[in-house]
Amino acid sequence: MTTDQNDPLEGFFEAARAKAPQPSGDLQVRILADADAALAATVRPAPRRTLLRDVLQGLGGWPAMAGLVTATMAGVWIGISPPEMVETLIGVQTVEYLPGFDALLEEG
Amino acid sequence: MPLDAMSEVSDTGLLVRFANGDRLAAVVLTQRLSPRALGFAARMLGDLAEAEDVTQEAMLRLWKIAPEWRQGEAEPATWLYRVVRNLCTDRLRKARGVGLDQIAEPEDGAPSVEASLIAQDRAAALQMALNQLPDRQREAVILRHIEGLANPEIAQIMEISTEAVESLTARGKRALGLALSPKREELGYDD
Repeated sequence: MTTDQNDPLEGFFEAARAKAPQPSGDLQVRILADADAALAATVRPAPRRTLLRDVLQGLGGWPAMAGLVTATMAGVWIGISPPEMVETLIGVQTVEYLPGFDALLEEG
Repeated sequence: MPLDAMSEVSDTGLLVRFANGDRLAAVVLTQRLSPRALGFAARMLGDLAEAEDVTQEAMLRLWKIAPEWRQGEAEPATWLYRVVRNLCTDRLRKARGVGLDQIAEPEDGAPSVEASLIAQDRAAALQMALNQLPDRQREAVILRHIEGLANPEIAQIMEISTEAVESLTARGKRALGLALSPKREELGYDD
């Protein structure tokens, strides 16, 4: 640094600079312990690998999974309660899965 | 990177390395910055134990902000001086129980330094005279004449204009000169 030797205070400043306090070993240890703690808090551990996480990743993650679930629910709903338009489109009003079942009941 | 090679790396570079998990960078930063923080705090507070606490707290804040550090904004040393300054101001306010603006400027020619001077030591005499300056004058004088910083950097630390720094330094030095002049001959200075 530049100093002004004609400055009447310069001798005092020089003495102060020469007597600058130095950090003790204990203070440095405390500071570095804080640094370690701060580092540990910011570096997060890698997420654990599980079967569900692997399957999810294979499908494209949670967004893809959400789309898949929506499509499945829509399919189930249409199957249970088909809208009129769907019935018209496929041209079937009633589906007889067991055609002789009613007659069998009547016969006892 | 070995410790020797780290000496070539800037403070900002070291801070980035630390944020990326390099513990050695923290060691070098501690060696570089903690003496400056401690020196400033000790002269502001006039108490080494308190200055050590302030230094530790300021360095902790540096470690915590490291992951968000934006390159090209401020030098880590400048940032650290500012934190030390704020921590010291808080402590001084609490110790006095009054606001900074309420602290009266000392009158020119107050004989308190001469009356209370015990140690015949230049640094001690200066510290006693510094302790009697208003905080802002003391900050400016310490940063300029003891820490050796340039006025624009001091302006950044104190968040004021360069002209205001010059004014505070001039007023501070005038008050110091008046306080120390009676002791100049005693301490081995000839006028």
